[in-house]
Amino acid sequence: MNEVEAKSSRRKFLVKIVKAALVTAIYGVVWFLIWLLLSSFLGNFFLQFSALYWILVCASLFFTFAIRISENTIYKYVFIILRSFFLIVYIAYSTNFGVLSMDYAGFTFTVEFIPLLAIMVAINLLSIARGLIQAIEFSAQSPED
Amino acid sequence: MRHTIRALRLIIAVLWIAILMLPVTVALSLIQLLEGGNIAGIGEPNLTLSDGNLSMLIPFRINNTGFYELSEVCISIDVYGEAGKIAEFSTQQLKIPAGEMVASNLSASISLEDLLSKDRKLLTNDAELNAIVAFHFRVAYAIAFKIAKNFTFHWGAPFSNPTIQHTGCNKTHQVFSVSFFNNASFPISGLLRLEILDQSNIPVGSMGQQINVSSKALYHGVFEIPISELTNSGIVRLYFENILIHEERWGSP
Repeated sequence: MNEVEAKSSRRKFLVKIVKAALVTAIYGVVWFLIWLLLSSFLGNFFLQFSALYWILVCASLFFTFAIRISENTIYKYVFIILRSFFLIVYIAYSTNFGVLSMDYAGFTFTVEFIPLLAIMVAINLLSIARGLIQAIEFSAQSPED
Repeated sequence: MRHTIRALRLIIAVLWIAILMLPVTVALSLIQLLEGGNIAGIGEPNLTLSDGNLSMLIPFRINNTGFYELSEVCISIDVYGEAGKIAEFSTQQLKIPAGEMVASNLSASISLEDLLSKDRKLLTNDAELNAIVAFHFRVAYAIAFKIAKNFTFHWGAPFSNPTIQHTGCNKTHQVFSVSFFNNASFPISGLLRLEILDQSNIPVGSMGQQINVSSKALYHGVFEIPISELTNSGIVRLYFENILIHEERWGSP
């Protein structure tokens, strides 16, 4: 590889990083706006869950950046699969495996949505399957990678 | 492979939309149910102690004005005493189709023996007990709701202040007078049995009577017990449906 090609490759990579950072920043702004909306409408109730919200935001931004930067490589699909794994664990943990409780005015309110949680996990398993098929197709199309 | 990926993408999108829409429509259904007005009513719970079982009957009605069926509608009551959890009532589960009004009874029953295995003192002593009353229902077979509240209530002993007095005897019978006060909020009906044992703790006679004692009423009965052998002292035991209520010594040793 001569110096011109190396320069061009570095430039392409830099452009990729800038694009990925830009998209991630847009996503970040959207997540922030959602946080502002939820915290103003739900107030203290939502603030109890703000740590869980920010974990989701950080993970989402990380995967957005990672997927964008690894565009046209097999790693893109690895990140897609990892994101689905993360979502399965996150959804199960953050929803206390589908059972949420809260105390209000001397009453204890409990909501149980295990069937919905099961479908959400199934959707993410389908996403993993799709990621695997995409990875196989990508490998088949570009054996040099 | 492209078709498979496309199909998977479509299935995932459809499932996500359905999953996100369901809680929204359930919430709308509940709002519609609450806006209906006069949606539910619960009557006076009725407790009875009969044949060794404590039964509870709660008349209620629910007008399901929402657009999803309500299933698994039930009320559960967990009772806690000094010894921890002493009883667990759960009514049978009901189904209320959308747009229909259901008036029924939620009923539950518990064996007195099970109830008192944790705390026998409740038969003869009043107590302050805690109860957690929970109302449970499921909407659209997917999302279940439970509303629970903690209560403290006064337990009136159904066999309060039991007394057994030896009032007479002959060669074939021993005569005892039995009394107690039903301090409970429910009537008692069933078999009350008096058993006498000699000084070696061997049963020498027993007799049962069907009783029916209203709430807050005094019971007084006379038991003329045929005896297999002549004895003038020992232990006398009072049973209700084979549950030991009270025992004491009688006669002169």
